[in-house]
Amino acid sequence: MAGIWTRGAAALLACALAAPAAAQPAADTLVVARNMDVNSLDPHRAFCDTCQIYLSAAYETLVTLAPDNRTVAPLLAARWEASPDFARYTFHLDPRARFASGRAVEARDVAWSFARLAATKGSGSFLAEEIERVEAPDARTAVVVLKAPNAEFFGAATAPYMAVVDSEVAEAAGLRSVGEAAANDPGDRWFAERSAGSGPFALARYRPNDELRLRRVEGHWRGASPASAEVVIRQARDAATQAQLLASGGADIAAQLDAETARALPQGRAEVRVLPSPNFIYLAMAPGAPRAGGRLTPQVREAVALAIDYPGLIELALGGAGRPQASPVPNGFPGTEGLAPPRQDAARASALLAAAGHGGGLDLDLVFPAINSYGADLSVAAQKVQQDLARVRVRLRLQPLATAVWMEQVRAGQLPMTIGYYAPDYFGTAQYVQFFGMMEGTPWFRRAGGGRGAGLGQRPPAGPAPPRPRRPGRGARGRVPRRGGGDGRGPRDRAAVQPRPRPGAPARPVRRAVQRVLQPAAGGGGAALRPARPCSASSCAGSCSSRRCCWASPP
Amino acid sequence: MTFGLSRATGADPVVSIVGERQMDNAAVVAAARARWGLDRPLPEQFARYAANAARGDFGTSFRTRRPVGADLAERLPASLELVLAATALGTAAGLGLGALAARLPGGAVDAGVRAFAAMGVSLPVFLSGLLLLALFATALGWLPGPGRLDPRLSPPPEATGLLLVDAALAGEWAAWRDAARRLVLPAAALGWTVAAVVARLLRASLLEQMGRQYVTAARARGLSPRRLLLGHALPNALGLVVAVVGLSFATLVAGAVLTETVFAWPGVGSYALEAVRALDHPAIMAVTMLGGAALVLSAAASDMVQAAVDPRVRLG
Repeated sequence: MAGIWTRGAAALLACALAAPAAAQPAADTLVVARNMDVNSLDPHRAFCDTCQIYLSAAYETLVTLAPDNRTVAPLLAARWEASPDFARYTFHLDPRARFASGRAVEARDVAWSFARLAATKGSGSFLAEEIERVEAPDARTAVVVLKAPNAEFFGAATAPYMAVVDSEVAEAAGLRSVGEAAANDPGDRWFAERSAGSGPFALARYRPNDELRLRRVEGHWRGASPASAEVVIRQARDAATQAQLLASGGADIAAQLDAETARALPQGRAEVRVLPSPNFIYLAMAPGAPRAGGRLTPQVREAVALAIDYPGLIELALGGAGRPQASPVPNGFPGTEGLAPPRQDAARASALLAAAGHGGGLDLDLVFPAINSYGADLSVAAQKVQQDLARVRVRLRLQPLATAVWMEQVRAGQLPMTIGYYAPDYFGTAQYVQFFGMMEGTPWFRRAGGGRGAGLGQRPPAGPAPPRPRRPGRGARGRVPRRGGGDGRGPRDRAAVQPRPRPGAPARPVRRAVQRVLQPAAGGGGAALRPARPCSASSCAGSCSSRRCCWASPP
Repeated sequence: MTFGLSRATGADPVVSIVGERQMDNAAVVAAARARWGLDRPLPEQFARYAANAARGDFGTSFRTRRPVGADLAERLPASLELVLAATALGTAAGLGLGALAARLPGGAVDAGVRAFAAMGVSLPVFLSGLLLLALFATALGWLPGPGRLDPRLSPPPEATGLLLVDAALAGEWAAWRDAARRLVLPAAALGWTVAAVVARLLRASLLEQMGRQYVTAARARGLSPRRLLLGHALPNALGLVVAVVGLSFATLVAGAVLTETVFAWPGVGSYALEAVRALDHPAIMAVTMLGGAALVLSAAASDMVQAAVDPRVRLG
């Protein structure tokens, strides 16, 4: 397995306090400065962080997450239930639910939207691929039948890409929901001009990489209207520009500041909040990569993990606003309770390297995308790792790449060591197992060289089992746990390594954990809700004191 | 040629289109290839592209998913407005400072002008731009911060795309004032580089002219030093300046990347940057051609201006 260590990053969010009084026209417009990165505003083709903010404002999903970011709460569906085998999910739509066009939201819109999400084969289509069909016993009831049981489907249904679109308006414009016709429909262009959802905002104007303007829907079906009549997301690529916009009153919220820029904001003009985020950065090793030359043995991988000074890394790359993470599943997600965070043990790292025959040192390439995501600069992280590893005589050659080139190389399994950034698509653990898990068919299994003789993801032969690479931190106890053996394979390991029973369905322990969290028990409906969740769960959890941070104020 | 170069990067744009989460999903990757025509052999892709481009269709951007022509039509006016302002400001300042330095060579004024020019050439715009913003927008509050127009003001109806012109046409003077004030800092940051080159060039060129025999002859006729400089040496020194200004104008139309990034200016430069980062081939090619066209047009324009100011370069 690719020795993966991960750590939590925290989103930094700065909100302008009472802006300079003079240069302030009507404050009915909320301005958010972000690096937009929008690939499409078609809900079924979009895939980006800003897209999630936009989609949550202009569209609605069947269910959403409560402000605690883990409990399923009603949105379009007032009530819901799952079959005992978690293969059939029934959603009872709120009879009041209306699209911006005035038409009631019906089960056929749900069916049309989920079918189109899969058929467009866009970046978010994986969310709908597990859906066999959507039945509509009546206009107010949508029954989602899955191809395989998945206890996390309620979590997936909260993903903004599972937005329900006004199918009548969209069909009339020539958009389709099945087959080639859907894959080639002009949705990208059509949705760049307008939105067709039931959310509290509607698209007013979109200029790619310039501004995204939303206008409040008056008389929204849930009754409570957002506080701001207009919300503008404006393009500001760098943290420095975002900070300037904030300080000069040109923006109310800057969403992607790094710790250093945030500290330099003029006192009294802005308030900086550090909010918990499930996004993380990780270091991965691919023993099967040709450039690794077979040197990334389990001992070496463990030594690398043990050589890193985690608190120092968090301090340097995140200004201290981060937490170490034990597995590829973010802290706080199902299955992560009680996991031991990674720890440094340089002495043991040196001993392991010596035992592996690298006492004289080892040269490796660390290739990474030169990105700065929410203030987490991967170049800074790479330099810190380089320093730490130099102390145990592992010499890293750093090679930053443009993201597009990095993606190509990492996909081809060419990179022996890399650093990456990962953000969840919804609240649930299966997505991490399906992406990072060391089992046939996952992206990281292939990237790490699984199936190419690297000894990954296979059941060990009888007899002395090969040592299993571990997530950092556990090695501190000085014993190498064995894969497949009874020892060292505590239940805490399972979330990330347990093979899943069927495609689309998460591993059983994961499923159990998820069941605990997402059981329909939470969803009786009736609870008063925020009109929307326009700031993505990762970017905005509360409201800043003197200016609105989430533009949907609680009713 | 651009087509060949943009394909020679070795990286597959389909990966950028699909994204990291799905780039291992064969069905999704195949669908994206088909949708964007990347499944065809390269010569066929080129033939299609050339045929479409000849009809004025530069394809659809992988990144914005809109026709590249529409994207550029939106972005070019922003760039033009900025670059015109920067060139005007920079040329005026450069001419004044260069003449001043040539009038008083070797003194404190000359040293000051040379320092100004050295900073203009060597300070990267992301630094000078941020300094200007920190001083005038944040600390003093005299001018607004980054952006072309306050998002709280509704943009004037689009006619030319040049905000100052559109706002004036619509009679929306609040928007006009805001747009004009927002233009000052980026134009100053970008104009500084133009002013630096113009000032240095003009100073050197004027000093050279002042050593010529015709100037000595004029001086012998008793002309004042000021008239010597402005009436006699300046017209002869101006030719080179015009050529350089023309060239810098063309380069900046598609190349003011740093200024546009720092000032959140939605122009061609920042569009090009996003295009390159995303391997957005249609956009990269269109911007390259636009840059080439700007160079040709601007060279022709500066030739005409040169001919107007300097009879020696007139044809025939």
